Amino acid sequence: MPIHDRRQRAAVDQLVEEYTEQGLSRREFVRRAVGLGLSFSAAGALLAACGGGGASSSNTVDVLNVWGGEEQASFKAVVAPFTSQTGIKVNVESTRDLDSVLTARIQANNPPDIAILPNPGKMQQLAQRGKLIALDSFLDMGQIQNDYASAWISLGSYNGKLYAIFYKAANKGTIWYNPSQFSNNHYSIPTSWSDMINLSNTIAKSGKYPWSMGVSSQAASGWPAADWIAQIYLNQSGPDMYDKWVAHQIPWTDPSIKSAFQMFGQIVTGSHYINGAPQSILATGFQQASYLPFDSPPQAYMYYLGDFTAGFISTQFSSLQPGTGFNFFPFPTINSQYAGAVTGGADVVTALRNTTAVQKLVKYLATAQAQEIWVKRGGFTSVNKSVSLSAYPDPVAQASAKMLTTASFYRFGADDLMPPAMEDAFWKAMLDYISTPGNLNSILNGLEATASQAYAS
Amino acid sequence: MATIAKHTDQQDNARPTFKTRRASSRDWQTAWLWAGPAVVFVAVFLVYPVFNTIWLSLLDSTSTTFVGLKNYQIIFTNPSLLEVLRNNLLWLVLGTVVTVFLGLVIAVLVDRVRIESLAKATIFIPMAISFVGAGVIWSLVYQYAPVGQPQIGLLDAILTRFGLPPQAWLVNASVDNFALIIVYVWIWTGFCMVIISAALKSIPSEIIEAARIDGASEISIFFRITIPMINSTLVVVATTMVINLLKIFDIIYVMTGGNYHTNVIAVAYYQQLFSFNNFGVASALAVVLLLAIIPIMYFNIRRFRAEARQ
Amino acid sequence: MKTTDPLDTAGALPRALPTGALDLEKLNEKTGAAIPPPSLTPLERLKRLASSSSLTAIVVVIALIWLTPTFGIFITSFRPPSDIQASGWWMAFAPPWHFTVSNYVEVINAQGLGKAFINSLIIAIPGTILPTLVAAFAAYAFTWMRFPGRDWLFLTIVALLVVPIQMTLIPVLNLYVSVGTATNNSIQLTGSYLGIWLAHTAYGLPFAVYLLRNFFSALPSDLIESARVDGASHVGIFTRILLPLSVPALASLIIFQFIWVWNDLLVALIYLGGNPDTSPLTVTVANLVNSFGTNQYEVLTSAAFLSMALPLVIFFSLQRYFVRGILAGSVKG
Repeated sequence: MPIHDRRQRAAVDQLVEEYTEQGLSRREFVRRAVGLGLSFSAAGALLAACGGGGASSSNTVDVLNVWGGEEQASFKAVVAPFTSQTGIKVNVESTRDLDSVLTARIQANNPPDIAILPNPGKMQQLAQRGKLIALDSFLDMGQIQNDYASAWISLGSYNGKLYAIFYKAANKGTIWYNPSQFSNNHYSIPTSWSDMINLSNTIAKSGKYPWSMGVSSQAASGWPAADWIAQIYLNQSGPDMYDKWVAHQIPWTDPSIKSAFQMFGQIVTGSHYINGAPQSILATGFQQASYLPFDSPPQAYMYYLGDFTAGFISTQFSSLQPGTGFNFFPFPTINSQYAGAVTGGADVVTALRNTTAVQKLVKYLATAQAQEIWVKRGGFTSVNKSVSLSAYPDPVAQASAKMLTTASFYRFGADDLMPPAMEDAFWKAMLDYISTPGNLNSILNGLEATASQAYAS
Repeated sequence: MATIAKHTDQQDNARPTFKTRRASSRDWQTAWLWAGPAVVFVAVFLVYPVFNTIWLSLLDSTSTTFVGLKNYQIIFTNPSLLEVLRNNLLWLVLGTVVTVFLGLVIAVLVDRVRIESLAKATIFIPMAISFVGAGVIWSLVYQYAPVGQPQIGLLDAILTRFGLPPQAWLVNASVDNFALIIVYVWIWTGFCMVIISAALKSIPSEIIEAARIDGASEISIFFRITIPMINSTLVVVATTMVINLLKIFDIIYVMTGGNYHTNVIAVAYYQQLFSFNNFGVASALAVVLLLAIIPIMYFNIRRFRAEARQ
Repeated sequence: MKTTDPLDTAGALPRALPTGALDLEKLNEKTGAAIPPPSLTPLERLKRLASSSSLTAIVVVIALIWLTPTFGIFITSFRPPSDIQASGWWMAFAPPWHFTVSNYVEVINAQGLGKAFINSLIIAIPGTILPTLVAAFAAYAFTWMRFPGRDWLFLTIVALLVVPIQMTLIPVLNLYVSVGTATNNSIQLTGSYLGIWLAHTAYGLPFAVYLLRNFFSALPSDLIESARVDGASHVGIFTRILLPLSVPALASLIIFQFIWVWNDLLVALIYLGGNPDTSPLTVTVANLVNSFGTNQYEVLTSAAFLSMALPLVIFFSLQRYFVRGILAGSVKG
């Protein structure tokens, strides 16, 4: 790349200096280099010549995530030692409407430094659009391969490059109950779907409410119900069908999907199953609903939601001991062929700006030590192999982590893998189905109509 | 605007310009210097985006391929987007009628009592409160709990006191749109009331007095004299409400997020843009909104020109 | 109906908005004067009294209905969290009384509302002054200068009142990005206060230009004319004659624009991108609503009430200007 003009040469020199010393982002570097008259490939070569690390001396990192309340407090506890060691301040910004905020900020060329995305589908989309920083450029990949199973690394990769660390994994095959109430009333843990329905009927007949349910979550309302459908579908139709459903290779009107909705409907519409159903289901927050089995006297006996529920319960009822005061049982078997199949979710750490501070924080968050802080606080399941089971604070968390690592089949929550428009329609459809289960056919037709547009684009 | 227009006639006959002097090119330049910043601002932030949006509405979801009117076809065939249009219509009709009607009734009532200023201020307060604040205020009013749990929401507490089942006001699709419209009414009735009240007071008292002496009843005075005399004010207030309601966003965004069949155009636009990244459909929705507003804009300009001519 | 009642001064406005703002009090005395009661028989007097007290009762009920929701969160914000979940706010008046300011301490310290309050001021003050100035210049030109396309331009600006702000977000954001790129990021408009000040200026302009031009055009034209003849410059006329005369209109506009910017959520959310270091109160409170849902009313109500405090103070202390702004600009959408 011969540069003849002296002024231009000076400008390029200055650019290089800025890049190496002040930590311009790579994109910014390339754009400015091109602005100075270099071709893209020349700019790329120049960038490579400057060495990969666009290091910054900036002393703050903005982190965007979806956590609120107790979860956010735990995350802040995780980064506190990082800040005291490095002097790097971590600004945490939380929104349930993460898609909107992230889109606007990326559009404005003002992305957060780190985004902790609630689903890998979004990560793939961003990586495809070139918005993410490849993490393998600065992470010690040997260490990563040592700490993370190859399945997690490949789920976090796009085109062979690692873009995401699987940070907070969720086991979504857990049904929460109050062990002392179960033993007082001589209820036994159901292992099959029909057992569970029988138990529900027994409780209902005694004049009590067997279930608690709440799907309200502001803009994301409906997702807890979508988790129900995904878990039922995986246990009923198996992983192969599940993958086809997620990829829209079978229509939403397929009998297997309809059947999953109907099984969920057994719980929603069950006579005397849920106090105030269907309105209370729609109007109650998923966190509030988790409290009912543990109130005294209990207002319900079972509650289905991922393992992070333990965090809600133990914060609200600090006197309850895990294992005796609250516990979970695995989602019951529907089709014995797929016994032990578990759905889950994960929050993934992605970087949108490449600064030294960001690199340090990503490295830190990926370590077992950092993850153990939250693990010990409860409500966090790590997929880092170096986090030992003994780090989990109690038998409940240990059992959940074990269930996740030993699952016969493991799949991501279906909604999280779908295109955003599909996911939103799925959630809204759950709200519709809960309020008017009789409209199931038209609801599924509507979803199919949405799918034909959402998957096309 | 027309209220003002109608009534400013007397004072505003002479247009305060230097008609005697011919505009020289130097004047011309000076004028542009003074008006220029404002013109640049609205050109960049309002005019350009309108044309940009119209163009984007003819492209696909990533703004790369020209697709003609396909995005409009999606809007008018997709059931959930059709519902959005229906909801906006409900807001438009109900929101306008109720705020203007209540504003008129309250303005007439407070005109006859001693505590007029206090009552007006009370009803007017919500105008100073943000939608976010109003969202918190009303979610507490509408707060739902099933039977057997403490009712901390005012409405459900009243219902259960009378032995009726509690309602989930913001979730139940048969009432939630009305529950949201009530929040709008709460905020904007004060606005309507203040303007209508001002118009009422500008009716010359001799006219009413004369009618009273002629033996007209209060009711017939109201319908035969008061209403016709404040007619233009009512139209202006209603127009303002219509523009507001077409663009209604915050209340729904804050309180239901458009869930439970409460979505409206502006919220759907926001979702298409930021959640689904579908720039084509989002822009087409914005254009639909603009098309609905244009007749009102035209109407406003005509009024304004009429005023300017006088 | 005395002149001490700011909302009543509205009575005189439509007839004489522009000059009315100059001497409202005088005008009000004329038009607001009560009709002298004709001589009545005792029975009629009694009837009138009964109907006026029942009218008063109706008005009181309406006012109470309007006040109750706000009063509810005001009371709730001073109750301990356990009480809030256990009973409705109206039970706070039954003994034993438990009131606390700890909710406020919590939101100001732990939830960063103190900082957000400052940020709101940082956004709202220039976001008010800038559009007022730009609009005043333009309104001056539209009223007192003669140039081709003047009326046409003015009408266009006013017509733009109806453009939904949502429509402008992405094109403007893209523009901001290009400005950043073109200037090598020496002018950073996205995620910066400068960007949001400019945006609020533009969005507030149609209303502001409309209001001020309306006011200016009603000022006595000989005043300006004679100053011109005496050789005063436009700048001189503007600063020495027009601005002092326009204080009432400027006050209405400033209050209106300030409250509008203060209460704005969307523009702040999009142009600032929700960074908590720069977020105003509305964004912070909306985030709290997101994080806590509706099960932590102690945080939400105190936060919401804090965000409402300044607009309410302004409203009560400067009611008359606020109302005047509304009357003059009833096309603001």
